Amino acid sequence: MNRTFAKPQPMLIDAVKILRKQLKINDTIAEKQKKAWVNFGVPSIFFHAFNIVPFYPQILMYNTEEFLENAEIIEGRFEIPNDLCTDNKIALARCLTPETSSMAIPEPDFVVSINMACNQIASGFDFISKHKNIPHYSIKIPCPDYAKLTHDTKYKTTFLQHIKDQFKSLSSIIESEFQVFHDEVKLKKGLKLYFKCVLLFEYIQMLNAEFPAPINAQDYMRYLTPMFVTNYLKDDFDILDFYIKLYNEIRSIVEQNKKNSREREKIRIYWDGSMFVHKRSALNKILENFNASVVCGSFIYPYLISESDNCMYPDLPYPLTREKFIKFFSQSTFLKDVFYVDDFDSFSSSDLMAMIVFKLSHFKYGMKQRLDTVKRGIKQFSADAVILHMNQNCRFWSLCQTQLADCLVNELKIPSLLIQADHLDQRIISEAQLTARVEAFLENL
Amino acid sequence: MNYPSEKKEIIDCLKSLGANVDYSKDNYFGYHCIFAPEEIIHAAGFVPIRLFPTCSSIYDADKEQCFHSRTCEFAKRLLENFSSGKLNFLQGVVFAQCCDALRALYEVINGKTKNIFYINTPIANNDDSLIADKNIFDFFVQELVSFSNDLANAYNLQLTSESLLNSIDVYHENHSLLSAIEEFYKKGLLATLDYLHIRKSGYFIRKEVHNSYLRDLLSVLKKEDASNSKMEFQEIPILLSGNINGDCNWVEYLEKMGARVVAEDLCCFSRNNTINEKDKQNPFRLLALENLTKNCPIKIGVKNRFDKLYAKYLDAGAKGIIFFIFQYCDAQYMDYSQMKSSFAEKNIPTLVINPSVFFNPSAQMETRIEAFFEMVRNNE
Repeated sequence: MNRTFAKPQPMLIDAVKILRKQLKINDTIAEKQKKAWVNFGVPSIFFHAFNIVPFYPQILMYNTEEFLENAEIIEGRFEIPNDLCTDNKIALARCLTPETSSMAIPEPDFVVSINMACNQIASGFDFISKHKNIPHYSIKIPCPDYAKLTHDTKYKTTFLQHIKDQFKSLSSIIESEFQVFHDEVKLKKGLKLYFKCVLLFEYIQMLNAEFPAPINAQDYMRYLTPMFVTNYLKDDFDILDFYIKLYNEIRSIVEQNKKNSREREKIRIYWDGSMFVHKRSALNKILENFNASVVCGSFIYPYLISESDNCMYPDLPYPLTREKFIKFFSQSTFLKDVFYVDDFDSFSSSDLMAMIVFKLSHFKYGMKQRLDTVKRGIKQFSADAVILHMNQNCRFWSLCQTQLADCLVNELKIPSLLIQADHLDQRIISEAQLTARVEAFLENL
Repeated sequence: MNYPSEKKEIIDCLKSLGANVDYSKDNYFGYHCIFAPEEIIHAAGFVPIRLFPTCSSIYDADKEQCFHSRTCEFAKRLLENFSSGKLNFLQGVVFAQCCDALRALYEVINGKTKNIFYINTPIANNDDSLIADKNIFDFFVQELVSFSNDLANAYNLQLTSESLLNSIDVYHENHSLLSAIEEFYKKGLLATLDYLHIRKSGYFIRKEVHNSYLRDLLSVLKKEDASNSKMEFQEIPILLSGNINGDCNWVEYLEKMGARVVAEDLCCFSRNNTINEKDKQNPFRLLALENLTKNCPIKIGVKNRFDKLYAKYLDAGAKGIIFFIFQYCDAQYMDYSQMKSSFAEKNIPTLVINPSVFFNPSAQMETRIEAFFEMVRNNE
């Protein structure tokens, strides 16, 4: 039987090594500089511009076995509720049981949270700040009226302004509290590089719209992560080159598939909910057996893709070089269309941070927006079925997923499967249960 | 209007008013949380009524699977109240940003039920930077203004600054009266159950009516308190924290087991305490500021949360603390985890109970509480 995915190329697994390399670099710097623990969502460039080193406990501690051990300790010893968000538990475990962590991260001088999805993570970081007796600064994203957000320009402007004001305020507080000053020029330069990576990553994702999809979409999170944690201001690692190489590698798989006339996979799956960290190999095995692939997912898709139903941009040159891409970027309308930035130089770094966070906060926009996003993803990636991972420790991810599934079946006639599990906590669902449910679903298809 | 002047009669009257509301007689507007701006609802001419889940089943909530199984029962049963039509008498409902489960509830019923409003009250509380930065604070002031405008548009009415200031005055008086009555409760001139019923009744009747009874009660209590001394009790003095869904049966249950609840930090009661702001130049700004003074752990960064709770504990002469936390209420549980270790450092015993939304003591619970009381006695 033809495998749906080609064997991973060396480049494609470098993302994890990138993270570890970043950590080593950060360790060297961290002794002299202020350190912050940050939850996933605020790009590191913001802190690097202050010469502050950010650490992301949620990302850095994504190790299943270690998580289980730590979870049991913090639940037993510290009475942290076992239904708390797993990402929160990771950060709390690092805080409360540092001796058990295999990936040591330096102690923070302060913590920063942003409630892009829910308030739980802010609550967890608040706990950490009180436990360590250090300041906690939070960027608070309100829950907007989605209909107004899409149709009322003044409302949207006010909303964006509120996020911008908080970044300005946070910058002032950091400057006065820690006697550090941010380099606006460097920050904007870093943000421009960030936007280039975002556009390129959009193209990388869209490669999965091809038949067959070249990549297991569940891997996209690990490829996305360097974009957030990399120090854009350092010269020893070029994030743009990383994504150019990644694009070329994945594109080469697409071209190879076309050349060899490989058939499309039998079942293309859209994955709603967080992707599994544990049981991934068991899940992938089942998918292979049925010639199925996860082509896209809510865990990655809504972060970056523009709101248009069609990818409005011309094809990227292939093979892609840095020069070609920079020229392409300068000529594209991406920044204006997606981030509403028509004249980059006229925007301050706070404006730009607000735009980024605004795009990342899609969870706040409610059920209607969620449904629209899933429908768009299904259409763009030609999904045949949807698997909805109802994360038992996440109220927001699991919000109205049953209604979502019903809607997909009734409106789009797309079969869907609900799995009640957790992306990291293996105690919620056994491998046997997961296997049985997915197999039965795929068999029915 | 005739009403009794003796203390017992006033209290019985308040209990009866709170328990036997005729929902057809007035225009009721629902809210679920202490962060909802009742004053604006009141100024719009409605009777703000706090929503407590009353449905005995969660059949529909589970059947529809609007929430996953690990969602707090409070949200599920409140959904059941909506689904079953029990709340059809409401002219509207407002949700204020507090926890994720209730935000999820809003998402579920929004679109299914008309006249549902949402206000983005700050998720942080007593945050100095929030108030210090005018632009950031003004966003929340604007949220209140928008709510007020939305009410006016939806119901075709005029909501003026004057009417809002009048409503604020009514609520300020209510806060002051309840605070004064609380002092008499601390002195032992009011039984805990009576005190809680007095507070609870205010959630279901017009504030002006509530104030009227409270004034009468206060004058009776002042006369009774001629000696100005605090009564002594033999029972174990306990502070309650958390959420009991306004169900005073829990208090009665604890007191039958030998406790006296001398102070409380409960969602449906003293967490609603507000410090009355004085500057009335901008009523919306005043309401936003008062919103931030509420000492509720649902919000992050609650300033001096432990210090305030500890001060309450000391002031009341409590000897132990019982936390009532609904299962899957992560916000309250995170608060408990912090409070427990802080109180443990001071050798103050604490106990956590996971009640159902409705009164449902179990033998296991009783054993735990008895053991806790034994520990408190030995601690003395």
